[in-house]
Amino acid sequence: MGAKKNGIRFGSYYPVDSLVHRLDPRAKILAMLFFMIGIFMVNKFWVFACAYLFGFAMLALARIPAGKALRSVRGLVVLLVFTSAINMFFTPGEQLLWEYGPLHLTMEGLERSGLMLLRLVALVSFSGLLTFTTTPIELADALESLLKPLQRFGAPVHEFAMMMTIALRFIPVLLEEADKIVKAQRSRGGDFSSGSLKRRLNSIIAVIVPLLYNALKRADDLAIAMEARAYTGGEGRVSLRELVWRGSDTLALAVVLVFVALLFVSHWLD
Amino acid sequence: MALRLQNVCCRYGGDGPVQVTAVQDINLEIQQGELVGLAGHTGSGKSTLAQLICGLIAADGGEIWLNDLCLTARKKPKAALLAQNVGMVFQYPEHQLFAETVERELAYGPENLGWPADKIKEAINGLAARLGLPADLLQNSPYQLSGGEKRKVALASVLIMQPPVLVLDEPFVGLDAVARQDFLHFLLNWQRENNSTIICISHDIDLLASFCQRLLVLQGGRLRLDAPAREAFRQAELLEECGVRLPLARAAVLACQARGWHISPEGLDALTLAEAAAAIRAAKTSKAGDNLGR
Repeated sequence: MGAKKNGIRFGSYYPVDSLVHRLDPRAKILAMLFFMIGIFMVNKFWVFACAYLFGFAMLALARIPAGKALRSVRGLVVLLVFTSAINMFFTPGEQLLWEYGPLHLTMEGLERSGLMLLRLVALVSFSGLLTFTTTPIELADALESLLKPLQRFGAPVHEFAMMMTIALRFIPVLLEEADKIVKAQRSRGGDFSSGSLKRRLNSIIAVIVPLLYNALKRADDLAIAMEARAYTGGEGRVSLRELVWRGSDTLALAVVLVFVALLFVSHWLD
Repeated sequence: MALRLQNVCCRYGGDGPVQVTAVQDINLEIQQGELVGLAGHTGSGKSTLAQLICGLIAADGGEIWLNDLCLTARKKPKAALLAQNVGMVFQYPEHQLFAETVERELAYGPENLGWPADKIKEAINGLAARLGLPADLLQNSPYQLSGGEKRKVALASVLIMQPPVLVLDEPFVGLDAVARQDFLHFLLNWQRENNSTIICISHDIDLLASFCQRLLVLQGGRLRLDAPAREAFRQAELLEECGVRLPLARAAVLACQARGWHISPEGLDALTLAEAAAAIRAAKTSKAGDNLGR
């Protein structure tokens, strides 16, 4: 997982040992959910300062370089610029600063676009607290456990989680295979970055076809192998990897909940 | 000289917290026409080295020259130029077959190189005859071929471009003994005719011993041994240290000598040696059993 040289990158799990890494993934999912909701309630700059401080403190606790978390914003630059611009130029308000045709810049617009920008950046960079510290498999396990109550209403929670686990499990395998096929076709002169559109398309077909063929074959083999080991679905199946909820998980969740409650309170402060 | 590597090193892991040095300080010169075996334990850097030589991954330091083409120059050579100079056949190369027909499969490489159509046709027919593929099979889907045939077609799809240097990563894995001999025979014939350089990675040390003139052994990303095959297989201790076992025949001779058994040179055929080795192994296990019983 992680970086593959000159290949395709997948997954953002950052393998270090930290307090946050060791938390129960369910605690992390719930805490992240509440923290995100809390972020949406923030409507003052000084509260954002506090929220960022809290977020960066958590990142430090998780031993994730702040730069790495902030860098995940890069993919959203276009969206950020676009929403800020819309908010900046189309918010009606009293204190007019500048006007040109339908565009008008107001104090209120500036404030709103600033808050929106801070909100989006916070959402994206602090979501890393979950994805950098939790492996995809842990996430799938945690989701299965959290969704378990839905089983009572007939939802196929176990099957869903197993599908997710298998899919996640095979993404790196398929990426590696894709990487190998790309290299193999490249050593036959296949060019993916230059040449005419037709040639490039041909090069892509030369990767997709064997990749799909192998993936389907592998899926078939896997299904048979699972059945051969008596897999029949969720009924009566137990799990070796039991998630254990510890005191530290309750504590972490409580800390986040208290902070989120404060964010809520600040929403109605003057 | 076909290939020259100077202080080559390569790391995986990018900017992440876990970085792995796959190969380091590799210095190597290989002449045109050499048959080189590349051995080493799993994770010793064999595949990385092979891919570096083929320009498929970038080195983090050092220089790699293929004749007068520099692979480590800032401006990367184009895929077509690379394919004319070096060919790589991966493990399970039949997993990379994609075309509708065997003919189209073989034509893929030359098409990328921009060969004229009649030259491609000629090359395909020549190779098909050599492969022992009947002409009508050329119009079949490569997925319909047998395992051994698929493997040969995949190899041929690289050979057809006549790369002066050919790198093979575990080419014999998953083939039965007959298909293996057939494949090797085809490969060596082709090598003799084109005087090409072959670098072959394999865990099957007996097979490497059967055709390689020179052996390279990697351990922990470093080149521990680089010697003519005959000399290399004499260094039993070093090989063992690197996780490479001796060829069966060599091990049998050593074991016989250690017991003071005399082996006459005329009795030295592979079958006798294999029998001797089996006898020694059986003796060992029964002795171990005795020890346990006591």
